[in-house]
Amino acid sequence: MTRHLNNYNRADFKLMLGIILVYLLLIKIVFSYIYTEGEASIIWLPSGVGLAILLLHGKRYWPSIFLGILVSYVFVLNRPLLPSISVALLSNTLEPLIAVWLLSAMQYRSRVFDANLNDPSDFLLLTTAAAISALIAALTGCSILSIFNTYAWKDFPSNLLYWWMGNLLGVILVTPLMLIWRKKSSHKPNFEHQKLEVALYIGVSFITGQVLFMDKMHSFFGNVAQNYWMFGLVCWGAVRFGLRITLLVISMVGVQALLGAKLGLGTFGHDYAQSHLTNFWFYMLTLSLVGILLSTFIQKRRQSEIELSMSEMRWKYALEGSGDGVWDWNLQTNEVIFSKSWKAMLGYSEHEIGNHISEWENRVHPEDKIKALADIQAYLNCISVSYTNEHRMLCKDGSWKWFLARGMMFNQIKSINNKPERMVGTHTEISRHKLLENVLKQNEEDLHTIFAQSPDGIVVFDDSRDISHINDAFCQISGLSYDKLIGIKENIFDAMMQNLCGDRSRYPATSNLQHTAITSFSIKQKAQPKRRASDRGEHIEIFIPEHRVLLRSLIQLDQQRLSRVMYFRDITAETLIDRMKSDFLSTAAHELRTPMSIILGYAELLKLRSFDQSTQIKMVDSIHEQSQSIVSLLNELLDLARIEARAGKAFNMQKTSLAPIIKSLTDTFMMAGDLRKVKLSALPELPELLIDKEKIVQALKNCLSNAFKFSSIDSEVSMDVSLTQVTNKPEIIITIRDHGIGMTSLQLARVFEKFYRADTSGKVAGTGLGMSLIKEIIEYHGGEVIVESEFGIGTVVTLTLPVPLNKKEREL
Amino acid sequence: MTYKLLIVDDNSEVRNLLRLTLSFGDYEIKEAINGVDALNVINEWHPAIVLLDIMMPGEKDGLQVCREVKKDPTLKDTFIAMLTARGQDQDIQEGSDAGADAYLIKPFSPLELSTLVSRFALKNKQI
Repeated sequence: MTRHLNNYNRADFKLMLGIILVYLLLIKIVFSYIYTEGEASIIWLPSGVGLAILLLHGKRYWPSIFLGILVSYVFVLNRPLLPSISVALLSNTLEPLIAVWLLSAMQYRSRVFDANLNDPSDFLLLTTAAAISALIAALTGCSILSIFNTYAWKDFPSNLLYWWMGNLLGVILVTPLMLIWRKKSSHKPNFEHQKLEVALYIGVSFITGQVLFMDKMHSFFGNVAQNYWMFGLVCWGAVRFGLRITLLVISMVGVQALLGAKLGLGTFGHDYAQSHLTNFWFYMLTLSLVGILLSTFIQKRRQSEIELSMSEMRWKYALEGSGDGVWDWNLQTNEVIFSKSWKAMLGYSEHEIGNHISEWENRVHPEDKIKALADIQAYLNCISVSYTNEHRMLCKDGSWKWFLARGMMFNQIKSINNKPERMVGTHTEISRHKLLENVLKQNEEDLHTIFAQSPDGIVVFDDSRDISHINDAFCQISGLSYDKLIGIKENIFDAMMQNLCGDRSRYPATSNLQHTAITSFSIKQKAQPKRRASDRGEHIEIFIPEHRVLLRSLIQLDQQRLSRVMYFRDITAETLIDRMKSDFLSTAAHELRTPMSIILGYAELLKLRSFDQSTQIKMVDSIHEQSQSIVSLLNELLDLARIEARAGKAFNMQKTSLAPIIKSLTDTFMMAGDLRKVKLSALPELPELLIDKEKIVQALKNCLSNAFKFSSIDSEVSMDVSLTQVTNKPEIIITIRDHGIGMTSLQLARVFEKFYRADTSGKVAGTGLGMSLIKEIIEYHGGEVIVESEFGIGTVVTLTLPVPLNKKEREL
Repeated sequence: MTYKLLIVDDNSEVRNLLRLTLSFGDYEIKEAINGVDALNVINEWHPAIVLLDIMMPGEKDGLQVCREVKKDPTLKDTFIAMLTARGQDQDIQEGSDAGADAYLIKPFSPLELSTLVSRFALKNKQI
């Protein structure tokens, strides 16, 4: 019990005390002023108050009702303790508790009772619960009183009915009034703007009540006054002011009617005698039902109207605010309502565009129109699930803008002939998107072209490390086909590359490479320090399909992703030329060192020591000879460098007849200390050639001097010149033949190598550049140099020079 | 004491120069014109000093000759001076790796060469 009491605080006790006092007052009023039959009254106010208290403050206040009844019965009414008090306590406490329980348990169309009485169903639920609980209370009370013989058993039905009627009317009249006036609703009706009307209404109602029930102004109205007048007033209140004021007036009317009945005046003046106030009861019940139901119904309608307009406004603001144009198309009449923003999008004001579909149709770009109409048709025919279309529309200023149109059939309502009735949708401007889309597309095309045209091989691996892209350049470099590469895994790619490297070099595999070890590439990092290509790449030497040096760089596009890009730059030319240049330089230096060491050596010896005459002469001869060899080496080096560097620009090409050149050369050619002459066979008739005379002479001289140098002094050096006409490309062929020492096949293979000298004895002066020079000169003229040689037998050098076709021959 | 000295070079002018340079000392001089030739002479004649060119035609170059001589326990005391036109650091290192006692780069000074050789002779005499 103590624990139970702890659940109540001081405010609760205060409230309970108040309730007890209210009960005292109520019961005093009921027993003093309202007609009662025994223990029952035609309006039992405590049942309405009790239910209202429990609904407003909670079930736990039932003890205050109990105490209120107890105190009233014992101290105010002086009733005998039993059975009267026990019945009153039991039925009055039980009834509101049962009603509250019923209200929490019952539902009407899945609607739970709301004490704010926002909906007519709330009132119906309240009435039903009150009727049931009143019946239970009346049954209990009547049964006990009959058992204790306070009531006669024969009057049981009428007692029960009377009890029930009183309790029910008590609830119907009092509970709604208390609930509505005590409720803490957020939207309390505001009568500020209709103060006068409310005052007028209450005044008129009061006067009417006085006229009807208190028989006032009888002389004026007489028997014209009828109680149905009050229904008009209740309807006025219900429609104009709602539940609060209406309930107030109904209560007022109830008091007036009851007073009239008591005083024997007005409409119900004779009701007690005639029907025990049953007429009054029905009158009040009907009046209450009409007033409350009408009020709640109208209130509810008004509420949903406000909600609807709010939601409409929200949608409107949302749609217009998004900048989208909204349209609502009646497919039957082709009437379209275009929103203000739709018109504004195109640059028109509200009244410049009409309400017909043609307003849209006429503005759609002709190129997009067919597709747009087809899309709509497809959607209306249920071929496509939704209607979306991108099209251009003509603006007021004459420009075209891109729009995205989206729409749907309204509610999917189909008219009688099974055609959709309405379509509602929006237009969103997407010109900027379109522009970006085009730029992106262009960029992609450009990038693709770059990718395809790049001289560097590019291999792209996707996130699952399969090859997703390869360009032509890579296929060309590697000799692998596109079909063979696309889609393969990185480790297989590694193996294929190792295959190309053969046994001679190792391919640095990438499939096992950690992602963090790879240069990551980000467009944002523009300020990265400039690096040379070779700084972030690996040299790879492949030998299949041919010897190439590749610079591979591995790039990761995004640290988060696994995709990689590999670049293979073919640096074969650079690398090999670099190597050749450095070889050439070191060989050239080496070739200079030997003659210089002889010069330096003899010169120093001559300076330091004294030698006999003949030795001195020999030494000076040697110095002279080696100096000359250095000079000729330098000259030839310079010639060669000049030819290579200028790629032939040093050539002075002129139309020249070859015969006189060869004749004068063979006539004058002499080697020091060699008396032989070139044996020239008879020259055929030769066409004119486009040649650099000096260079050709130099080449021929080199050939002849080789022939002389490497053959014994008594052997023959011959020269043949002939003209081939066999092919359609006529050539002049010059053959120089000696019967000298010849070359082994090993020596022959290196004959065009710079500084290579088959003879290393030092007996024969030379630089090792002669053959290279001949080759450069002849090849520049479009010809060929062929060297055939047999060790100990002799060497044949064949030079060819193409004959330029004259116009006639070319046409043939 | 007369030292046996072998000149190995494919260029006859160079051989002549060397012979002339060393003609003022007390040397017994022989010549070889390639690697194989040189090894034959060294094995038979056991020279105390070898002046060895590196780049020579034939199966064996100077470095190979040097390596073989220094590997042979009976010959390893032979004084070998490499005499070559190859003068880069890398070449000198190669020569030193092959076991050469001296490395002379062409063009060389005859005085320098004779000093080098006579210094070796003097050192040997003291021992």
